[in-house]
Amino acid sequence: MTTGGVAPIIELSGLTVRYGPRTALDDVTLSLPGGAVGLLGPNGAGKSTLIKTLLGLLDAAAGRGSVLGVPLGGDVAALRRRIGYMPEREAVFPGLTGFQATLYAGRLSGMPDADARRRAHEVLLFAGLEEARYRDVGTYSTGMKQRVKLAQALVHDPDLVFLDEPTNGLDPKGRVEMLELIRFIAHEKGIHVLLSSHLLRDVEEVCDRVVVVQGGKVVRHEEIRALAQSHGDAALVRIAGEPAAFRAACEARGLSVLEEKDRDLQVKLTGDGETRPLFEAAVASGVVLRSVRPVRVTLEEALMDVLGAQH
Amino acid sequence: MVIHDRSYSRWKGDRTAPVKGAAVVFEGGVKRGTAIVFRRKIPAIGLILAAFGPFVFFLGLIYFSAYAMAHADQFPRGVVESLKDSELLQVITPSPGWAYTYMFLSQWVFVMVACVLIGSGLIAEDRRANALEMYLSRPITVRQYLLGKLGTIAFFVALVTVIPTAVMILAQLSVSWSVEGETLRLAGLLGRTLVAGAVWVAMPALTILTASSLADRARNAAILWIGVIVMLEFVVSNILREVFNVDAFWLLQIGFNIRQVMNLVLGNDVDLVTTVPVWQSGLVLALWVFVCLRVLRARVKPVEVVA
Repeated sequence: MTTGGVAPIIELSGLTVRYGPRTALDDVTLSLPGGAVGLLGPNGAGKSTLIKTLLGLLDAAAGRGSVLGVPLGGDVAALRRRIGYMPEREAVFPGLTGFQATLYAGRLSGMPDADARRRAHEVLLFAGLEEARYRDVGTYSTGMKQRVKLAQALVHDPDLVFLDEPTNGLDPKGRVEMLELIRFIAHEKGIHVLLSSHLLRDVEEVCDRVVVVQGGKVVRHEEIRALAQSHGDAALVRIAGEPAAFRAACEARGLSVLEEKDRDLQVKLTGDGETRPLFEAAVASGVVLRSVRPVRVTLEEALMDVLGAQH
Repeated sequence: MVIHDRSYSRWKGDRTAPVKGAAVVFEGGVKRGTAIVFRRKIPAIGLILAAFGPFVFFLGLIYFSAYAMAHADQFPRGVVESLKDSELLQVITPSPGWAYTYMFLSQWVFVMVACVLIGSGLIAEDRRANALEMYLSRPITVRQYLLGKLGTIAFFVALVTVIPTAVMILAQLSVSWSVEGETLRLAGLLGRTLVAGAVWVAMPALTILTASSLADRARNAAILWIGVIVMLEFVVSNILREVFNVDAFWLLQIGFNIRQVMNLVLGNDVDLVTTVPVWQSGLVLALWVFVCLRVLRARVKPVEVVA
C-alpha cells in the first residue's frame, strides 16, 4: 500500500501489544508516508510502546507491520542499522565521555572504527557539544544529555529516527534549539522523523503530520493543518442571561461549548464557521448576546477535542 | 568566513564493519575495565606487580636456568652444579600440580579482585544508567550483549590465571624443544591447562555477571556475590558438614567443585580428602551455569515491564 504514491516507511495492520494482562497497543492500523511525523497523546497512551515495538524491542501479540520495508520480527539487525533511537529516559553508556559514548554508539551500529570516530565528531558538533565532548557524560546537564542522546541517534546516519520526548527537561532556549536541530534533519536532510511527545507545540513546530494515540489506539492520523481546520473555528461569546440555558441551546444545535467562564463562553462553530446557530440558540434560551468574537481553534484545542471525544 | 561546517552531513559508508556485535561490547568492556583498574594508579601498579610478579620472576628463572645449562662454560662450575642439584628446577618445571598451584592456589585472590572491581559493574552500571535500552535498540541481540560482557570479565580473570600459566608452559616448551618426549608432555599439559583454566575462568565470570544483573549498582552486586560465596564456601557448607557428618555438603562450595574438576582435567590427585565423586562436582557446576544463564536471560531485557 502507498500513501499519495510514496511507499510508506511504517505500515501497521491490527498491531496489538500486551504487557501481561494489560493491552498497551490495541489493534493499531497505520500507514505513514515519511517526513516528520508527530506521535501525540497523553502520558501512558502507548507512544513509547509503539516506538519500542517498531524497534523490535517488544513483540506484538497480534497483527503485522513493516518499517522501512522490513517486516516486524524480520531482520531486526539490518533494520536497526538504518534506525536511530533517542529514548525518553536519561540513558547513557556509563563512564564514557560524550565523544566516547557517541563513538561507541556508532561502533555498536556496525560502523568501522575510523568512520565512527569522524562521524562522532561531526554529529557532536552538529548537536552543539563541541566544547563538552571530552567530558564525562555523567557530568552533563539535562540539556547536554539530551543533545548527546540525539548525537548517538544520528551518528550512523539513519534513514529514520525515533525521538521519544526529545525536549524533556529542557529550558525554553534548549527546547527551541533542540527542535531546530530536529526540524533541520527532517526538512533539509531528508531523514524521516517520528517525534513522540505529549507537548503539542513541539509537534506543531517540527512535524507535517500527526498521529494521535490514546488508550493504546490511534484516534487520529492526518496532516497537522488538516487537524486544526477539520475542527473549524470558534467564537467567544459574552452573554447576559443564564449560561446553562444557553449552553443547552447551543448543544441542541450541534455547537459545543469549549470553555465557560462566568458569562463568557467559547463555542466551537460548525465546520463552515456559520454563526447563525449562535443567534438561534440565544433566542431559544432567552439570553442576550452582548458580543461575538471569532476565535481560531488552535491545534491544542483540536487535540483536546479529539481526545475528549474518545472518553 | 566559515572555518568548519557545523551542519549535518549524510554518511554513505557501510554499516557492516567486520568487528561488530559481541566483539564491540567486549572491546568496550575491556577499555572500561582497564580504566577502572587505573583510576588509582599506585594501587593499580601494586596490584599488577603482586598478580604478575611471581610469573615474571619464574619466567626469568626458566630462561636463566636453560641458558646456564646450555652455556655452562660461561658460569663458575659451582653455580651450574648447584642449579642442577637444587629444587629450583623442580619448582619451575611445569607439571599438572604446578599448573594447579599457579592458576588456582596462588591467584584466587586476584580473581576475586578482578570480579569485584570490574565484573560487578558490568551489567549493574548499565542498568543504573539505562544503557541496556541504548545497547539493545542497536543491532545487538541480548545474547551478543551477554557474550560481550562475559568475555570482558573472563578476559580479566584469564589475564591473572590461565594466560600467565600458559605463557610459562610455552616458555618451558621453547627451551626444551630438543629434549625428547618433553615437547609432547608440555604440549599435552598446555592443552589440559587451557581446559582446566576455562572451567576456573568461567565459573567466577558467570557468577559475578549474574550478581551484576541482579543489582543496579556495582557495589551492591559485589556485596551480593561476596556474600553468597562466603556463605556457601565458609559457613553453610562447613556447618552442615560438621552437624550431619555428610561429605555431600562439600558440593555447596563452588570452589570445591572447581578444584575437583580442575584436578581431574589436569590429571592431579584430588587435593581434598573427600568421598564426593568428581562427576557430582561437574554436575553441580553445570547446574550453576544453567541457573546463571537463566537469570541473565530473565534480567537482561531492553524493556522493563512493571506490573
